[in-house]
Amino acid sequence: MDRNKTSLLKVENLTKIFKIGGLVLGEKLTAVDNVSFQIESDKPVIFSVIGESGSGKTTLARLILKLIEPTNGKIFINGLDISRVKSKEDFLNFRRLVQPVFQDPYDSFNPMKKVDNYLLKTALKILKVSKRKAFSLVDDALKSVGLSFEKITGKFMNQFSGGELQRISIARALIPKPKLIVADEPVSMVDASIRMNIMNLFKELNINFGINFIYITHDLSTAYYLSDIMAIMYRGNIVEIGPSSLIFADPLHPYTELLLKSIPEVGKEWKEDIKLSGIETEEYGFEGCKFYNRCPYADEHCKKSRPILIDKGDGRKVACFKYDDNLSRALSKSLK
Amino acid sequence: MPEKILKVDNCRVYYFTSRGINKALDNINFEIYKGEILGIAGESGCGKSTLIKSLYGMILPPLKVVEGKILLFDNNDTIDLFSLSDESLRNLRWKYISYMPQGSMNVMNPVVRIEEQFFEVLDKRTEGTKKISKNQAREIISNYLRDMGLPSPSKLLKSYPHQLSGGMRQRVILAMVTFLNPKIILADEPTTALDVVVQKGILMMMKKIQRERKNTLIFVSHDMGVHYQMADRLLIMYAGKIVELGPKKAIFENPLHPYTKFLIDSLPRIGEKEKRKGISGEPPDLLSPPHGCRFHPRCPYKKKICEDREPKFIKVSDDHFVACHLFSKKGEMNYG
Ligand SMILES: Nc1ncnc2c1ncn2[C@@H]1O[C@H](COP(=O)(O)OP(=O)(O)OP(=O)(O)O)[C@@H](O)[C@H]1O
Ligand SMILES: Nc1ncnc2c1ncn2[C@@H]1O[C@H](COP(=O)(O)OP(=O)(O)OP(=O)(O)O)[C@@H](O)[C@H]1O
Ligand code: SF4
Ligand SMILES: [Mg+2]
Ligand SMILES: [Mg+2]
Repeated sequence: MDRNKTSLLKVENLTKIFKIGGLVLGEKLTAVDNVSFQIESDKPVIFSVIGESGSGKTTLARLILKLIEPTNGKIFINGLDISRVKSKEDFLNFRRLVQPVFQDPYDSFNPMKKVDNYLLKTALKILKVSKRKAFSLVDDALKSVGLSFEKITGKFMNQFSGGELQRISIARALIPKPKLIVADEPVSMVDASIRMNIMNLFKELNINFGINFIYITHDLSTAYYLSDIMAIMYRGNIVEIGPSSLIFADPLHPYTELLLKSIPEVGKEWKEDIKLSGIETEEYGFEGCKFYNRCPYADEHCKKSRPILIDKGDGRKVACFKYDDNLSRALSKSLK
Repeated sequence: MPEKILKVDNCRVYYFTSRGINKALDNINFEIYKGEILGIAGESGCGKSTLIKSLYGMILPPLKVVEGKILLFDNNDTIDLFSLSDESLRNLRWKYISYMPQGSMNVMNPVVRIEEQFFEVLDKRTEGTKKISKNQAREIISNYLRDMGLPSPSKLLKSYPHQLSGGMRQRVILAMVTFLNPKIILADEPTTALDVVVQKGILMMMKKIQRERKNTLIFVSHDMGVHYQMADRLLIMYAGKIVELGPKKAIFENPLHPYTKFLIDSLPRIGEKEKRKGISGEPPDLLSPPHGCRFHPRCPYKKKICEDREPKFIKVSDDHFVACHLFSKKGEMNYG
């Protein structure tokens, strides 16, 4: 591989530990557990992150957005080590590169401030441009989501519908023309009609403006529709990563298999029963594979040691002993 | 003819807000059959939760019943829900009709142990019969939780809601709601915030209980795939109105209303990557809904009459109803 080629995103041994409960008696929860991966592509990508609720998706997003600091590990965006972003100046530069879209559009705006002013201030602050230039940038951003400055002038947050607000918060993320947008469940609040419009907008922005997306969702059908690459998380680990089309056609990890079998699809009625976990919180602390107690293929080995992501050669990586040869088995043992 | 258990008769239920009157349920007429699963779908903000609240007799300000009745049929009795005293309503709840509110994962009292919350439900059962000890109560509840497939019931009963994951909380609520074997169960988006695996587990549990005990289950979801798995009949709402009602098979194979067609066709399916279009236009404002058919500003088939006159809710074939000017009484249609 070309050593000089910089990846859009490179994550190395990333760990985030939360303390839960009191300081003395409190327990620790490893929400993101030694995660490493990178996204490399010649063209702009849409990367989906899928996983159980509580598997660490939002935590990963917040780490990448530098809203929280990792307990351990490093993140590089476009070659930039984001732990070196320290001064206010650095942070503004960083925000020019990476922008968030949050799950709840109501969280993104201040109800006391007029939305148009807020957008203008964002442009002025991050981009340090003249007022006139800021105005045209905001107007452009609004136009790309089917609105315009004129349509929003003088209005407060509560004077927009949920769908309008969702589009405005996407427009806000577009103002600095970022390299990467991290969108955490951006359509979970909106209904079917607006959902497809937003999905199509992401596609257009990706193709026409070269914006990369990290799309975090529970909704596998939109992830399939939208993304080039996806990662599946389970209890703080990435268990499978690779081209979406391959993963959907032929899932490797037993959890991915279970996930795809659980999609409620029109035309395919569920028959078989399903086993849910009874010991969720304990699973974060498992020494071996965190899925072993629910996995139909598990053996003693899975209980004792943790599988690491191994390259399948087709662009995919999977962390499961089913696909592991003896060498990596020994390796993962000696790592401990 | 299936036996009916509930009838909504010409109901208008509005929110009287400072900004104006929100006609969240306008002229609603339909019947629910004994032992069926009725799925409710529709645009966000169209009145689904308001309908469920009304069916539970939970009319709290600023919500008011402007017109109409909801009738419950119990053996030879007919109960007029809106005319009941608070006391009789309380006697009906949990035992005859129970309710899982939207976002119910977050509505459990966080500082009260699960066991206390269960005791309250159990108390309702023992009204009139002799009191039992706490230990006896615990045993009855634990056994029930075990029957419902919940892990380590005694530990579960001792925990506080916030110590459980969203999925586990939802399983506990489902157990509570079904504990006294009510004839009617209302569930408002019971799995929306959960990942697909946990969702499947909970839905299959709901269906199993319903099939065994033959209760009537009425549930809201915005996921048509979920409705396909669960429902016997489907009710589709748009802007405070019912636009279509029919057997699941008929709705999926032969949707009549343009909005229903859209709901079924719009969402991407796994295995198909070609572009899908959203519906254009914004959801209507229920403070001043459009004249005529409330869907007309967004409808690709609209005719002159749609702008002027409200379509009637008519029976098109056996058990299949629609409110759209494209359909006449005899069920002839014309999408011209
Ligand atoms: N600030 C925090 N303090 C303590 N624990 C936290 C904090 N934030 C997250 N967690 C815990 O970390 C784990 C991962 O949470 P996270 O929000 O990243 O999951 P997620 O995959 O985004 O879930 P969901 O699909 O439900 O949004 C959870 O067990 C959560 O309770
Ligand atoms: N307490 C309230 N006071 C005033 N208006 C309300 C209140 N609750 C709901 N509404 C309004 O009534 C209408 C119907 O709301 P409802 O909650 O029934 O919608 P819904 O179909 O359940 O939507 P969703 O899919 O988003 O849950 C909406 O326009 C909503 O804004
Ligand atoms: S009544 Fe008219 S506007 Fe309404 S859905 Fe039917 S065709 Fe469309
Ligand atoms: Mg999250
Ligand atoms: Mg609702």
